[in-house]
Amino acid sequence: MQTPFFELERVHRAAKEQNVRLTRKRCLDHLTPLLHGYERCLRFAAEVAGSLTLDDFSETVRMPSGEPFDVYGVRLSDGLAGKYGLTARRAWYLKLTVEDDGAGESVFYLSLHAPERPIYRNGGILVPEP
Amino acid sequence: MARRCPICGEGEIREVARSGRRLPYRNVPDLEVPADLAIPTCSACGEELIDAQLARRLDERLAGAYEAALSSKADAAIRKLAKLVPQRDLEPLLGLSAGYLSKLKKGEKRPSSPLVAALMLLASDVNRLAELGELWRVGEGGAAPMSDRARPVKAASRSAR
Repeated sequence: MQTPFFELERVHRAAKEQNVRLTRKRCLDHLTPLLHGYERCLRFAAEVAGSLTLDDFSETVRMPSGEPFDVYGVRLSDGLAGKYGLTARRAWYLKLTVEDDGAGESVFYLSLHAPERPIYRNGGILVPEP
Repeated sequence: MARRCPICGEGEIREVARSGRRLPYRNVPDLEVPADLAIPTCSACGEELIDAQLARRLDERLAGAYEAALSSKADAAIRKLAKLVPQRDLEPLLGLSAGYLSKLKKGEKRPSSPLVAALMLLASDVNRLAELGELWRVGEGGAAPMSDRARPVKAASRSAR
């Protein structure tokens, strides 16, 4: 089983505290038409991060900056999909890192959107929804 | 102190407040961000980073701009439709009470997003007015008295679109 660069415990802890940052282009431009308010998008991102398991993990990649980012593929639970009205959009692609600005750790999402191609994960392949 | 961009690694993340920036908000893909609202932005790749605190501020500031955009679009569509169909005939077609569109124009009511969508679509193809009257029929023998009244007085040719 592949293991993420950032321990899930750290991701979960930051998510529980709502310490989450999102990029505009690869996260919020996709989320706001579905979830409307920006605050709601951040809450959704925190809940998705809080729900991650090792089965969801795919790989760790390095960005041009050299920073490691963990890639996950998630299929939303009934509860999470229902809460955010995403029952028809359950598959999500995540690329995130954990950063520490001195005040505490936060989850920084580079990407949070529907998968564009199959994601090979510990728990099996997550295919894009039609 | 500015931080290095964790994505491109070339630029620095700085608080940027300027006019001309646009963000998607609800169903409007390019709502203008108030010029005084600072957003952490990479000086090289241009990526904008948004945390929970900024998200709250964006919601507060963009909600007003969104309502203004809806009102403006509703007003433009109503004015265009008013040249083709009496307002009193348009209102029942849209399930609106008499005088509602006047209240929208005066700013006494705030239009919903679905209503603005319907108004914009009708204004872009006025032939749809008559079709809409027919679509509201619920039975074969059901009357649709509005459909004739709502026929545009100067129906635009579809081929002219």
